[in-house]
Amino acid sequence: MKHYCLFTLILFGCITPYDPGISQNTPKLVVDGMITDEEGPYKVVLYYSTPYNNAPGSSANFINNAVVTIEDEEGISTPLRYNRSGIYETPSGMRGMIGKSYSLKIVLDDGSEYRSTAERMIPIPSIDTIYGEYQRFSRGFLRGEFSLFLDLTDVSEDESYFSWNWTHYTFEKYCGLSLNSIDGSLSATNCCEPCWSYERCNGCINIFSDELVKGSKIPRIPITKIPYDSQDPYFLIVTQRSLTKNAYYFWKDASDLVSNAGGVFDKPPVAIKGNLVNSNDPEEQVLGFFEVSSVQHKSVYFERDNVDEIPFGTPPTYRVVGSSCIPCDEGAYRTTVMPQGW
Amino acid sequence: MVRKYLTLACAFWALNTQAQNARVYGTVYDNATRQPLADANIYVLGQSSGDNSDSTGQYTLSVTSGWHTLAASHIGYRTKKIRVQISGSNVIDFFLDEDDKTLEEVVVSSRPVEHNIKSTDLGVNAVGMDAIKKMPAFLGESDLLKSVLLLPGVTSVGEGTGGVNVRGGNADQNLILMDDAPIFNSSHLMGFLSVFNGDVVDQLNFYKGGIPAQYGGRISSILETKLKVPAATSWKLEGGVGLIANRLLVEGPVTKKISLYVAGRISYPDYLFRMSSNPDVKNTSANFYDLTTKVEYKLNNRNRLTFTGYRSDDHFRLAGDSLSSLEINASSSRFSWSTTNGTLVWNSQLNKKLNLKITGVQGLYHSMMSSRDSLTAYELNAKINYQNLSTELGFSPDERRDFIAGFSGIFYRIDPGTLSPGSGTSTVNYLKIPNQQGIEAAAYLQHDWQMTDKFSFSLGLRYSMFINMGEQTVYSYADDSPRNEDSIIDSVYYKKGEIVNQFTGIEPRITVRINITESSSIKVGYNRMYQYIQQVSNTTAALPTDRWQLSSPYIRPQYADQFSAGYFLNLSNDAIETSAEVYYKDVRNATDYKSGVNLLLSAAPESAMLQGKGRAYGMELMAKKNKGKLTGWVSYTFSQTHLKINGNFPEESINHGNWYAANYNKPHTLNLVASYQTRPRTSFSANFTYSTGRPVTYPQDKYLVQGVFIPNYTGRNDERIPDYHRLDVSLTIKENPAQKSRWKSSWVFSIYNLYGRKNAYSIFFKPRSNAIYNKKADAYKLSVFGTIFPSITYNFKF
Repeated sequence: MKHYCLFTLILFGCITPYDPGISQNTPKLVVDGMITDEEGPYKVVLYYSTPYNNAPGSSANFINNAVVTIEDEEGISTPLRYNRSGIYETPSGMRGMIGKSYSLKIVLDDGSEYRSTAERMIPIPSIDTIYGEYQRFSRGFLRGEFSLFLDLTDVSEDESYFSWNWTHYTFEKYCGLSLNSIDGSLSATNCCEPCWSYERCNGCINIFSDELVKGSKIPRIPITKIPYDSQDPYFLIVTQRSLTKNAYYFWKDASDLVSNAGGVFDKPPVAIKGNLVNSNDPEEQVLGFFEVSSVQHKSVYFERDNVDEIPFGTPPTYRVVGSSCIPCDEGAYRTTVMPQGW
Repeated sequence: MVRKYLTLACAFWALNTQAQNARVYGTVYDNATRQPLADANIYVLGQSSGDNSDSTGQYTLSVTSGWHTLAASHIGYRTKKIRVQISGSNVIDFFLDEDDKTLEEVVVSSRPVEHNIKSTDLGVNAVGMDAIKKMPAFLGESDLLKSVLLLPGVTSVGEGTGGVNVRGGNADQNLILMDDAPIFNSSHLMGFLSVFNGDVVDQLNFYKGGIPAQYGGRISSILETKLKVPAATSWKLEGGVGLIANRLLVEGPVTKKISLYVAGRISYPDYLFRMSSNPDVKNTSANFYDLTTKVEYKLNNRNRLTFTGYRSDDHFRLAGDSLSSLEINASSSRFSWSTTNGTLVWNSQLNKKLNLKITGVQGLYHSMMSSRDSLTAYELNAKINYQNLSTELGFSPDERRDFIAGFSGIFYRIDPGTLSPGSGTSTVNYLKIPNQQGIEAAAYLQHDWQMTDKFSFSLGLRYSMFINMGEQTVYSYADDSPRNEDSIIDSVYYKKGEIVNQFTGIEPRITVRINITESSSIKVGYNRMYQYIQQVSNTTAALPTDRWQLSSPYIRPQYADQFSAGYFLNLSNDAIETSAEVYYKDVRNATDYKSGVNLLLSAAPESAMLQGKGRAYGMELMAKKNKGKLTGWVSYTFSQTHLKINGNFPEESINHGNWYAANYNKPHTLNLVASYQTRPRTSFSANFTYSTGRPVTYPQDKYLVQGVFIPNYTGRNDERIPDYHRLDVSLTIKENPAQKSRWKSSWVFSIYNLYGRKNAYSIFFKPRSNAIYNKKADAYKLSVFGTIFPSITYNFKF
């Protein structure tokens, strides 16, 4: 709701950091889990919430001895295996089916039992097109940027709820870079195997409901903004997921909360209701959500060479040292797996 | 002689609830020089009528027929009193003698000084526009509602918001009237200014307790503005140039019997936005205009017809995405809202003791949200149609007794929202929220009796009724689950005009005054108020586009019982008025909202609204100095406001069904308003205001779901934002009355927030994606007017 800005706020508002001193909380169970129609394993993360102001400390917050199972509408339950850092994984071979309902059951070591509502896996249409529009900047380090949109067609009669995310991949020729502090030159070391670095939109919530749209065309869903920092194509994969109505409103509330900019026309913050409850104590607050989604991907090379002016700056030049190589180091920023559609 | 009406006159209509039928005209002169005296104060002893003489020394008063003591006072002159019998039109001139010893001026109000002791007014403030214009104003725009905020018992949720909270009431619980026509949204520029044009407002009568029976329909307060009567005997022009808005007023006689004025304001703040380097701000646009006209037709000495027309129009465009509550993506959103009101009043003096007033009001409030992107273009329109016909009979058998009896019928038709595609290529669906219609009728009798000099009372009874009518579909919900779309089990359709349901309310109003001494009195009062219409908004301050809702089978009318008592004491020969008032208010069917619901386009708002109890209590202390070079007031308010919503299901309770602080619960408020007259034309003014920060909800913990950090808010309104305080100063240089030329000008220089305090407007939380790894609070304070704002306004008259 950040755009419920006040006239006065725009004119004169000023924002300063403030320490409200919230360092105490009653730890609450947090569940972050999802099952989709893609290949598993599906993950469920269990941990206890941390005070708003405080660092979480240690992995003591993770729950490692719970019994976690996913049940489908036919009563077939699949137990999840504990991996590490509060993460429980489904066994290989389990795959979510469109049209089926799934629910999550958690039993903690003190015997308390938590269940999610049964959420149905709703089919998701594919993305029709992804396209961009260029906007020139009048100042700053960037010449401009592209706003990326997508169109899709949804023939379903029911109200549909969608969620989008994207991952941007760049091929890494060099896995090691070092700066020579004397002459300022950059030296690079090759990667030992094909390597891609990637970034995701962390903390983004991009959801949509077609309640107010007539017909089956859903146009101009904003996806992201791409910097005009090079004329090379920009590769990204857009992920489109179906949401249940419950999940949509969970994310909608979350979106209101994280975009709250303090205006008096913002909705007052509220506790978000997830879809899990303690079977014996419905009053207990359980945070998080167990999502059931079907997924579609679309990868795109977005062309950036159709702008009349060239981007600011020139790409750095490297001096490759030796014939040695550095491994790609699969992790949160790099992968050796070639992205779909590359 | 040329007759001008340069200063704002103060004919207090409803204050004393007396029929006013005779008129007194005249001129005030300096006895030595025989020159006309401007800005003299002329008033009727024991009544609340008063006027200030204009630059040619002329004044006008409306009074009841009969014997009266008239007084004229002026700074630097000795007050003169005359006892006369008045009927019809009378001309009385005053010749005042200079007095070096007593420099006196009634600034804060032109009521007779002992009014607060002698009347039964309890929880009533009357403020003249003159006093408001002297107060330091933000960006030089004197504003009626902003000055109301300096009165005890009045708070707001933040600077720059439109609504006011009176004695623990929500902003939609104030009935705001402009010449009997209701104002559903009192803000211009999203709350920056109010819709009242200071050039034409004559008087503000503000009732927060002791509300006479002729007023009803809201449970917190009545904010009644009376526009001045057109009275010029020759054409004249008046205006002002400021940073935000320009004003112009034309007033004159059309014929001997008809006179009128047209006053307008127009604002052009876009040049301020364009100074910004932020593209979002640069592309913001805001503007408004308002137009006020009043025509008086004097049929004869006993009959008078007046028409007031008002039109205001606001447009506001924000760059960036649209409102997420609408689920439509847009590159910019536009808000607009307008008020179109007309009031026709026929005032007839049937005989010396009987006065009849027939009033017809037609009002329309229209608000719109829109976007013009071709594929997702939309318009969301909402309207309130208001028609009111009322008849009031005033009877004054003698000087000590007054009766007022009346009947009022209001017809409402509300279009809560119609969403339509904004262009041919738009894919937005057409969606109409069903209209609501209803009749609010009331009959009342008010009796004021001054039994002895020491004892008087004011007794009122109002019987109100609300009929909710078709065309309408009423849903029924399953008993065993919370009310929502999924628990609808049946629906009943009502034809157009068919009665859906009705509510009635008996509203007693009592105030008793007992004088202890000549200069002190005790007053005790009780009143009950009913409210059949409310604004549906779950934001801290309501948006101009938030919908309104009539009482229905599920949304029951709110009603409040208020008990109040006060002690009034005048010191130093009435130069200082002091008062201490306490109140306790009990509210039924107070409304709050389920969390995370969409209120705007819901066809069944009852599934999102929760009703419970409210309670408010407080104490208001005030000391006011009316005479001398230094005038002004200091007031302190202690107040508490809590709500309790305890439904049958956890979703239908707030804070587990316990009492919680209302959004506007600010326990301590201190206001200081002072004006110091250095020379007859020059005065310094200062305001200081302090209040406890409003309650907010803090998150207790945070958690991560799919890469998104979500703060977890528990316990509603358990914390407070930092306290608020601010000092403003201003210097007013009035026009030179001795100046011979027709063109006259005055200046107002003011500084808002003199010591540049960054007052907290809100505290908000934005967990960053890597926030779990650092100890930073990720909390921010937003200040709105966080620096000093000097301004200058130039006013002229011709």
